[in-house]
Amino acid sequence: MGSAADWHAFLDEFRAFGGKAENVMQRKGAFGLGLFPIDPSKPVDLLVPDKLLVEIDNVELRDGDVVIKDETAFPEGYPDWFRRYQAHYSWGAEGRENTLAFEEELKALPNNVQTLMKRLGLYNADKRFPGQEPEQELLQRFIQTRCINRKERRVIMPMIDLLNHAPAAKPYDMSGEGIAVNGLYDGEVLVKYSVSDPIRRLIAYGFNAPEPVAFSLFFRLQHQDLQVIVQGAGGRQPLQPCKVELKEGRLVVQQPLLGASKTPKMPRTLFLQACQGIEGVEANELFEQIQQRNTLALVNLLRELQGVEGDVASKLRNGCLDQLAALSHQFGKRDDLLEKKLAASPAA
Amino acid sequence: MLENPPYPSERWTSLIEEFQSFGGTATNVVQREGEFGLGLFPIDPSKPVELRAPKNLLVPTDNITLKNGNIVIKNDENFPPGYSEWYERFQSDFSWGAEAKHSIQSFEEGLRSLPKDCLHLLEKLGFYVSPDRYPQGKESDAIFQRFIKTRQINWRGNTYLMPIIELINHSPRHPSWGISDNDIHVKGQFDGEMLVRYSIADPLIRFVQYGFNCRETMCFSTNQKLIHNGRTMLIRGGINYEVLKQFKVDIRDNKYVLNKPLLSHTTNPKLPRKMFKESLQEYDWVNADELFEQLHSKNNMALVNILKALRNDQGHVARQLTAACLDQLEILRHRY
Repeated sequence: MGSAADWHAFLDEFRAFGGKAENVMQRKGAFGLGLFPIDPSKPVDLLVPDKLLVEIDNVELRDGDVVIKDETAFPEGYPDWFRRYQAHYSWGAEGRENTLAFEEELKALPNNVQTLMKRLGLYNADKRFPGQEPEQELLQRFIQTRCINRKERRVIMPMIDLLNHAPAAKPYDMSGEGIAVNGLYDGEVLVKYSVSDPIRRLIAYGFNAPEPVAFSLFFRLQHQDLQVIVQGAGGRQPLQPCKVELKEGRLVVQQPLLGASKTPKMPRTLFLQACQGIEGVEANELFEQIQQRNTLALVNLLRELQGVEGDVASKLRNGCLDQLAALSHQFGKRDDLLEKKLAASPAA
Repeated sequence: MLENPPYPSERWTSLIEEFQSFGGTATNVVQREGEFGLGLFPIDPSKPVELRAPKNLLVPTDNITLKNGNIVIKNDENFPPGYSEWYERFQSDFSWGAEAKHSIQSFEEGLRSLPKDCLHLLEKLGFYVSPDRYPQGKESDAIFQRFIKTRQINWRGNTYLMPIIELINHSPRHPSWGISDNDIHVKGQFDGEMLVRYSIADPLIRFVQYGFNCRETMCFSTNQKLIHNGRTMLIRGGINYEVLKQFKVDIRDNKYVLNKPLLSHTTNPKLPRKMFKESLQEYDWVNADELFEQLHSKNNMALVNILKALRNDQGHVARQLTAACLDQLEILRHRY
């Protein structure tokens, strides 16, 4: 990280390429390096136009620097600016170091903790960070925490990827000719990266956030006469029914929402909607089975983590507790929505 | 009075022989260290164990006191001659003096030094952890009172300590003591340690009252307040000793008070919701299923908050309380 003058000169260059970065400054805050308004009484305005977004397949490590591989589609001088941006404000400032520390500590967790996490579909060290090409693997992990889907491409958004996350903040504005964040901010400029739950936010990004929703972990369970596979994951639109289908005699439930602090009646409602018309399923009971398996898995993970020292173990404990809290936000159901869905289905 | 033999096994044998001479029964049993600390074990596991404390040997809790650090009977006129000396020796060598006093003291000190926000949360949830539980300067008396509370039994309207039988440890999966008009007894064959179910409790209540962790078979609500269909519901937490009966609902200042609802049961997971619905059936504005889940949600959140408050405390009691909260979260799941 350079001086304030360097920062402003750097922003001038960014503006010259068509980007916007008004009334912001990078500095250390509660979540590490982040962006802050220079004058909180005035709005912040950040925009990365589509032409400055860099596809993740188009970046590589060259002599330790993150650079653009194929420069042809970018304005002249932009690839060099991007290299300096990564070196001084992103990858080189804190990104590489933080990613490495998190991955190494995850890998050093006790075997029983890792086995449990693997079984729940949360973390598999062999796949995620095998350590065969550590720098390349690190870069990939780093990119995963900085990229976004834009017009069916996975892209890195310079400047905006310096923003930290808050579950209650506004998401990126993707409605125009680029990715934008703007508005008035009392303190740090924060943005909601995506929809996720506390445990997955931690595993994916390396920090704790009290996310307001909880999705299921991965499980196999027996329900009535059916074998059920619950595909755990986050990151989908939470207020849509999950996908439930019979495949080769087994019921596959994909990413069921289990808790939602602002709409606690929705998780069960959406699950009941998703199971309508599927024979052999007692949807209320299955929902509870999945809820209960999630609680037990987190309780067991917390038991295994008791007495384990280190920053990541402590973050993982927090992640489990936040996930349990998010899971608790569930009661009742919306009969009005269930009746509407039933009336709309062809069988009704 | 017989001379106290120097070796523990001899002391135990002599203690049992004397107990039998007073009319008590203690067959095929010995005290030793086990998984739960000192406990009673069969000498020969292939043979039955029998323990019986007849009514004339039960000691009313208001008839004991601390004298020079020992527990003694205050008024011995209703007991057989020599019994009060025997009882003092029993307490000193095998109960109060053997382990109980120190383990209660260590637990109470640990509890007192838990983080303030954790104690505040526990208090709010209805657990007795205020400073007057273990007041500074009156520690000995407080330890003595807790000893009585964790050993006493209600018998014919009064509370008593049961010599020898009080040395048995607790398991929620074993039968309770046998109680008749003439005695309190425990009989049966035990592969390992002799265990009895002290009482109904859940993991958190058991821990705060007794100081040990146990995966009990059920959970009750803690104190809670919530809004249901626009009305204020107050939930009085604690043990409902009659789990098969409907709980009481009181109306106070337009607030509905639910008394000690059962929330989960490992061997009968449909029972809690059934009892909950039956208890509220006369209130047609109540959606009992939804309220039951609301209450679960509140209890889960309360446990998560305690666990968060304990995160930076690595003390023994903090770790035990963490384990109790995790057990409680696990057992709370058992409901359909």
